[in-house]
Amino acid sequence: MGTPAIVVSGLTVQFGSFRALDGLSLAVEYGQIHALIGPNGAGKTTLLDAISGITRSSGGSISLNGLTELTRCNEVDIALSGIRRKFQKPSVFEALSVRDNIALGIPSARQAGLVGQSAIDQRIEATLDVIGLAEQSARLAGELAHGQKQWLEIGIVLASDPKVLMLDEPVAGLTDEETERTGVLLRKLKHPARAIILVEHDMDFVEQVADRVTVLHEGKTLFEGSMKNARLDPGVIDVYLGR
Amino acid sequence: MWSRLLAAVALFCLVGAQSSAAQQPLDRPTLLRQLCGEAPEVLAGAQSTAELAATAGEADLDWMQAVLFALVDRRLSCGDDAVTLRLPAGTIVNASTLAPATESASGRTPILNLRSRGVVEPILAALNLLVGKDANVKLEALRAVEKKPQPTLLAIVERALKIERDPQVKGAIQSATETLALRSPDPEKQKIAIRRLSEEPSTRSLTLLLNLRSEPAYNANAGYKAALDGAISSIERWLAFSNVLATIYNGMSLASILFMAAVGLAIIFGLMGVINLAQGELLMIGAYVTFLVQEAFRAVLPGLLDWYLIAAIPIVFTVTATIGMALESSLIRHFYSRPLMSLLATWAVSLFLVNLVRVTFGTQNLQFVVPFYLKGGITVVGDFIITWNRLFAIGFALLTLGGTYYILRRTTLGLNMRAVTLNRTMAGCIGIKTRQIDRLAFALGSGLAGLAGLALCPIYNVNPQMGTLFIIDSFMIVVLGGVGTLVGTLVAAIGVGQINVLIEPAYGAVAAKVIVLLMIILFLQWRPEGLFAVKGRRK
Repeated sequence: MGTPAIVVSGLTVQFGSFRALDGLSLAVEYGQIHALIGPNGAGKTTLLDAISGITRSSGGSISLNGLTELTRCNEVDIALSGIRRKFQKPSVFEALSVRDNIALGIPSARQAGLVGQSAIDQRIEATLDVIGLAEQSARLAGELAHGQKQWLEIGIVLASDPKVLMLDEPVAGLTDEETERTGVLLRKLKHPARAIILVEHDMDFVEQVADRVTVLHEGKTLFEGSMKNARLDPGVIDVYLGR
Repeated sequence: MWSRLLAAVALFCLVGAQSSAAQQPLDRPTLLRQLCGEAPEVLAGAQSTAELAATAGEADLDWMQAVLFALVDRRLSCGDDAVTLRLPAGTIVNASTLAPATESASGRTPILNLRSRGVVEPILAALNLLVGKDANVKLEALRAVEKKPQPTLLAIVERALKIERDPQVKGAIQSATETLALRSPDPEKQKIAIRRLSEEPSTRSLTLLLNLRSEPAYNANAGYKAALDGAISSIERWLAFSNVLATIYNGMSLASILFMAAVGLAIIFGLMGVINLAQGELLMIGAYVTFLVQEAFRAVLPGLLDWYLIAAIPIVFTVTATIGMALESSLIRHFYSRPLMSLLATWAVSLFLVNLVRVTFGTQNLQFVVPFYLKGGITVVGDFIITWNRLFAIGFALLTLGGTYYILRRTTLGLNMRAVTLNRTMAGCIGIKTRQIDRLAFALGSGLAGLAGLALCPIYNVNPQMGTLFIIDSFMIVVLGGVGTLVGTLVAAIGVGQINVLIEPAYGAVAAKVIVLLMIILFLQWRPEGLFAVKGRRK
C-alpha cells in the first residue's frame, strides 16, 4: 500500500472544556471506503470539520499525501487541494438549478484538469449521469426530494474529481430503495486515486460498502478493522451497537 | 407738402426691398399726433395702428414698429413743430420720415400710464412678430401677445401665421391665434377656437377657457355656453388622465434611483449580512465624482462639456468600487461575525465621509450643467411631459438592472456570489474563495451605489447630507423585497417610489415617509420574509 491519503495524528479539538477529539490518530488509504462510526458525540463530524478546515484544531496534525499540513490551511485552500466534503444536513444551493449546483463544484477548471468550456460541460453532464439527476438538471435544487438532494450534494463534491471525498451520513432519511441506489453509487465512486471517508449510522449500509471501519468513542479510537470484526468487538458492542 | 414728404418716405423705404405702392397710404402725422396726446388719444392711436397693421405694407409696418418701440422706450419726443425719435443706436430722426433731424426745443417725451402700457406693449409685440427676423424674437413677441390677449391683434397674428415658415414658430403663432380668437367678438371664431383648444388639452388651455366663463357672453348665449362647458369638461378629463401618467412617470424615476441605491445594498446585505450604513455616502461620493468629472471637462475639454455625464459612468463606478473594496478589506471583514459592530463601524465610516466631503466641498448644493440631451422633454398628452432627465434615470436604472442581472445570472462570479449568499460554509468547502467573493461583491455593491449617485445628479440636489435621505429608503426596499432577490428589490423600489410620489402632493414629504414606513411594517408582520423570498432559504 502506498502513502495514505490522510494521516491524522494526535488530533485534539477542544470546545471550551469539552474535548470533542482527544489525541485521535487515524490513516485513510487511497482506493478504500473508510467508515467512521460511533455513538452521538463521539467526534465523527468534528473530525470531518477539522479535516475540511471549518474547525480549528488545538493540537496534533492532519496531512494530505504525507506532505500538506492541513491544520494550517483555510477551508478554501483545503477544498482546492482536492478534499471535498458532503455535509450531514443536505447543503445544496437551493435557489440555484441542479446544473448550476454541479457547476459550482468545479470552482477552478484548471485545478480540476479541465480545459475549455466544453470540457467543463462534459464533466457536468458526466456527473449528472453518475448521480442520476440528468433529467432534473434545469430544476431548482430546492424543489428536489430529500434523496435527490443527497445525491446532488454528492454530485457537487464529486464534480471536481476530488482525491479525498468525505460523506457525512449520505443515507440518513432515505428509503430502502434510495439507500440501495446510494450504495451502488458509492461503490462506483471507488477509485485507486481516491479515498472516501464515510460517516454513517446505518450499520448494514456500512457493512455493504466500507472496506475499513473506525469506531470512535468520546474523541478517541475505540476499534479499527473490518465491519464484521467490529460487530464482534465487545467494547464496540458495549458503547455503541448494543447487545 | 405731405405728398412730397410721402415721396421721401417711399424713397427711404426702398431699402426695405418691397414697394408699398399697392397699399393705402398711411396717415403718419395724424397717428403721431394721437400718440403724442393724452392717454385716451394714445390708446386710440395704438388701436388704429393695430387695425392698420393687418393690411399695411412692409415699409409702414417697419415704421409702426419703430414708433411704437420708441413710445414704449420713451425715445419719442413731441415738439410743437416736429415729432422726433431717437433710434436705439442714438441717432435722432424725424418720427414721420425717419430721416435725420434735430430734436425740437419744445420736445416732450410722452409717458405711458400702466393701462396704456398694457395695451401698447402687446401691439408692439404683434408688430415685432410681423417684422422680426429671428425665431427667438418672434417667440418672445408671442409670449407678450398672449399675456394680455387683445382681440384686435388677431388679424396681425393671422397675417404672421400666413407668412411664417419655421414650424416651431408657426405652431406657437397658431396657439396664439387661438388665444386671441377666444376673445374675438365673432362667436363663430370663438367656437372654432374653443374646439381647437379642447383638442390640445393642457393647463394653459383650461385656464384660457375658464377665464371665458366670467364674461357676459357665457350666460347670454346658450349654444356658446354649452360649447364652452363641453370643452372644459373634456380638457379636465384629459388633464386628470395626464396627471395620472405624470405621477406614474415621476414615481418611476424616483423608483429608478431607489432601485439603484438599494440593489448594491441588497447584494452586500444579502451576501455578507453586513448592514452597510455607509452605502448612502457611497452614493453621495458617486455624485461628487460626477461633479469632479464635470469640472475636469470644463477645464480640459470645454467643447465636450455636455458629455461629462456619459464619461463619468466608468469613472464613478471604478472610484466607488475601489472605495468599497478598501472599506471591506480594511474594516468590515474584521466584523463579519459581529453584525452590531459592523453596523457601528459603517455608521462611523458614513459620518467620516459626510464630514470629509463637507470640509472639502462645503455644504452647499453642487451646480451641475444639464447636458443638451437632458434638457426639456416631449409633451405626450395634456400636462404629461416625458422629461429627458428623468428618462435618463429610468433608462440608466434599466441598464443597471440588466447589467446586474447578467453578472448575477450569467457569469461565474455571479454564480459564486449566489452560492455564497445561499450557503457560505458549503461554498467554502467546495473551494469557492469566499473572501475574494466578499470583496468583489462589496466592490460591485459600492460601484452600483456610485452609479445611483450619478443618475440622480440631473434630478435631485447634491450635497454632503444626501446619502442619509436614500439609505433609509434603500433599507426599506431591501427588507421589503426580500433579501438577496433582484426581482424583489425591483418590485419593492417601484412600490415605494410610486407610493411616495402618490402620497407626497396630498400630505407632504414627511407624512409620505411615515405612511410608507407604516405600510412596510404592517406588510412585514404578514410576510416577514419580504415580497420575494429566496426559495428554500428559510428552514
